[in-house]
This record gives sequence, C-alpha cells and structure tokens, in this order.
Amino acid sequence: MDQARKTISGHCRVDAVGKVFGSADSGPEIVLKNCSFEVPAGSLTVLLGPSGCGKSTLVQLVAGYDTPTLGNVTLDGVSVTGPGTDRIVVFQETALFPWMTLLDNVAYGPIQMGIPRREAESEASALLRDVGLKAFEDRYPSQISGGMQRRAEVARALIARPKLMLLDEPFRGLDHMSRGLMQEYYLKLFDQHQTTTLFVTSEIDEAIFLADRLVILSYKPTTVQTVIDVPLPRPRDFQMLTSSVYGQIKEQALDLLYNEALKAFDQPAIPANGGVRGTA
Amino acid sequence: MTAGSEKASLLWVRWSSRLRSPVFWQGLLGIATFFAVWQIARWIGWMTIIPSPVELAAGIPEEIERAGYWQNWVDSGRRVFTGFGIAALLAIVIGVAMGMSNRLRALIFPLFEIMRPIPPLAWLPLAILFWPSSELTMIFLTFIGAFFPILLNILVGIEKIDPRYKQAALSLGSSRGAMFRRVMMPGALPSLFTGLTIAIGITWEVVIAAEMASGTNGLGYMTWDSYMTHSMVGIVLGMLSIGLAGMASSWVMRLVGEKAMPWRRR
Repeated sequence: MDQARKTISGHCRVDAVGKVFGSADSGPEIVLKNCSFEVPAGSLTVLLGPSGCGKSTLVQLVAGYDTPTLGNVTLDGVSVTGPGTDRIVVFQETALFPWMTLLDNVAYGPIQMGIPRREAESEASALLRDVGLKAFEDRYPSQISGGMQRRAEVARALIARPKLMLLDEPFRGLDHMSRGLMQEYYLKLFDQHQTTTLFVTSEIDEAIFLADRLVILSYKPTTVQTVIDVPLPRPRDFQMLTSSVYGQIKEQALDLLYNEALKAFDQPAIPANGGVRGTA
Repeated sequence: MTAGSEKASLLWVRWSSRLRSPVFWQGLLGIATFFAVWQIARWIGWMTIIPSPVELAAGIPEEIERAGYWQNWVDSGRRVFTGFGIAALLAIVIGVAMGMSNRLRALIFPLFEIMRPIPPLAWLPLAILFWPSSELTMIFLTFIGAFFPILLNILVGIEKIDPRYKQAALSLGSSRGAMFRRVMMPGALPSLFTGLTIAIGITWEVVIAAEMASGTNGLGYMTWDSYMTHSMVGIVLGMLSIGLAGMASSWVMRLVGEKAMPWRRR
C-alpha cells in the first residue's frame, strides 16, 4: 500500500440524531433519540447494544441510505446527504453480487471509479490473496463458505479506499471458531489499512477485542449511554482476553448492558433493515 | 485422456449410478404399469375406441413416414418461436422501461392489468377479423400468450432485487449505466427466465388450439385432421408430438438460462 492513503481521515460525528419511523396504523415509532458520538479518524469504534435496538438504523443513516428525522451526521466536517464512495457498508448478510465472481466483485468498485480494468483486476487479485482467497477468485459467492464471503466483502470494501468503513454485524451467523479467526484476520487488515471504522455488534467479547472505543447504546428509544475507551495495545491477540484491563472493561460494559438487555428481552425488535422501508 | 473420452466416461458414470438408483426403476415401473393396464383394458374389451400400446407401436412409424409429418413440426415451431420471439423482445423492452421509471409504470400498468386476464384464445375472433391471414392470426395469439407472463416476471424481478445490492452498488460509486447493466439486469435475470419458461409452455398450448381452429397445417392441425379422418393412431401421435415439442422447448430454455446465469449452476 502506498503511503499517501495512510493520511488519516474519516472523522465521523453523529450529532443529536433522532429517527422516527411512521406508519399509518401503528403511529410514529421513535427508534433513535438524541444520539451523539464520534468516530475519531483512524480509530476502530464499536457500536455495542442489544439486538433489535436500532444499530442497523444508525448504520443506514451514517451510510446515507436513509436520512435522520432530527440531527445531523458529518464526515470530516461535511454533512452526509446520501450514499457516497467515501463510506462503505459491509452488511450482516453478504451483499456480494451473486452474479459476479469474487474477482469481479472486488474489482467492481475501482472500475467504477475509472481505474483501467487490468489494473483494477490485479489490485483486486492482490487483495484477495491478502484475505486468503486467491484460489477462489473465479468462484461465485454461492460457491464459497459464509466466512469466505465475509472476507471477500471486506476486501471489496477496502479496495474502494473509503474514508469510513461501516461493518454491520459482519460476523454474525458464523460458528464460534470461524468467528474468532475472522476477528483476528480482520484486525490484521485493520492494522494494515488503518481505515477509520465503525463496527456494529451485539457481542461484548467481540466488541472489546476489536475496539479502540466502545459506544454503548441503551434500548428503546435508543440513545448513547456511555463511551468507554479500550486501552489495550495493538496488534492484539487472544491472550488479551484474559488480561485485567479486559476484565475491568467487560465488567463495566456488562453492568450497563444487562439492564438494557432486560428491557429488550420482552419487546418486539425493530426490523433489521428498517431504514430501507421508505426508499425501496 | 482426451476431452471426448473424458466426457464419455462421465456419461457412463452418471448412467451407471442412475441404473443403480431405486428411484430410476420405480419410475420405469410406473410407466410400464400404465401401459400394461392400458393394454389389458383393451384385451378385456373396456376400451374399444382407443388403440392399444401395441397397435400404436405398430402404427406410428407408418404415420411418421407419411408426407408432411415433419413439415408440421416446422410449421408449428415457426409460429411458436416467431410469436414468442416478438413477445420476448417487446416485453423485455417495455418491462425494463417500466421497471426503471415509476411514472411509465403508473401509466402502463393499469392498462395491462385489464388486458392480462383475457385468455389468449378469447382474442381469436377479433384476430381473425383483424389480421389478413390465418398465419398472422396464429402468430398473434402466441404473441399474446407469451407477452404478459414475460412482462410480469421482469417487473417482479426488478422489484425484488435485494436493496442491499443497490446500496452496495451506490456506495461503490456505480454510474447509472453500470447500475443498470451490472446490477439491475443480472439481478432480474432469474425472474426473466422464469417468465420465459412459463411463456414458452403457454405458446405451445395456444398454437395448438389456434391451429385446430384456423390452421391448415402444423401439429395441432394434424391432430384435428386425424380426428376428422378417424385416424386414431394419428391423434395419439399428434398428442405425443406436441408433448415432445413442449418438452424440447423448455429444455432449450433451461440450457439458455444456464448459459446466461453461470452463477446459478451448482
């Protein structure tokens, strides 16, 4: 990777954001209320909250797929008004194009940005090698495993060199072992590329293991409860999961999350792709 | 090993595994039972009109050798594929335009919803009066039969594309053209092929009925003519030929679909 792209950018501010979904028969539903937090440039910030609390809605707003009812999202000081190549989302389920091979999927972004096909393909190929998928570059997404799909998708996002990467529970649904491996793999890529990242999860161990800072959400209406810095050094490995710093942070986060999880336990969840309702 | 012998050995492996599967033999047993019951019914005098399988087997080669039998395939096939081809072309153009523009869709869709439930054969009297030749009448009917299922399936295909693909494409900086060619079109392709497969089946149904009503050749006419001349073997041969033609058409459709959508092959 050339040095130029390591100029750290991607400082994202979510400022007093509120979101209301309305429907004729159920009335307005407040999903997000006065949410404010920052993703410092170059950081890996993790959004942690119980499932169904509207984390995906926040991602949709930052990505620009939907607009906040109140408040404002900015990236490097510029207001987000729609989707753009400076922010890329890696979704919960794979959004790799099923009709393209892995190579075509990863090369798609650069080609759209005007890079000649051959150059785009060799760069895509190199990145696929980095994520261990060189041998599978001519396969279609349906022909590889879930873990491989996520890696290919991370590669497709990284190659586009966004200022901000949004990962919306990208490892959900993988078995325990693959999940752990994916986390390690992912951290290696993060250290290498230093792309500012907002990572969404409902798994506390995953959150602490990955994060520079944790943004903990409360439940219904969802708002930011606390921000905790995670001072664990990088590069990280799984031995840190037993360190005392880790234990303290986990205890603190668990205390906060437990009450929210209790509230979430007997309430209907917000649809995972709720933000799409108006635009689809 | 050469490619040819590799293919042959692959074929052999596939067939030998098929022969070992009980499902294959059960299917065969079912078919054999059907013909046996038919033959026995004829022996004990239950079916005096319909020829027995043995009589059919003896009579069919002669019917096939009769002048004009293969020409009937060509005539019906030409009607089916002309009507189907025009329908596919128009439905794809109109369907894609409607899928991309909500205004156009709002303009055209209600009209099509009124026309769509009219069965193709209900157009027959009007078509006979309107078109100068019976050939054009028959082609028109097959067109009507194929047009709406193709159109409808394209619309559904475009509508049902997962919003995540569109979002991902937007985030990756897709131009309008790329969004259309590389995301919307391939995304709608499976649904389009569903429409095409349904449509080709309907065109065979329609062409047979149209030929019986207003044709002077073709497989439908041949079946009807055999009825008029009391050729029982001819009737059954006509039926079998129509079935085979329909089967072959959907098989071709499936092959084209597999070629066009390599990502759907296992």
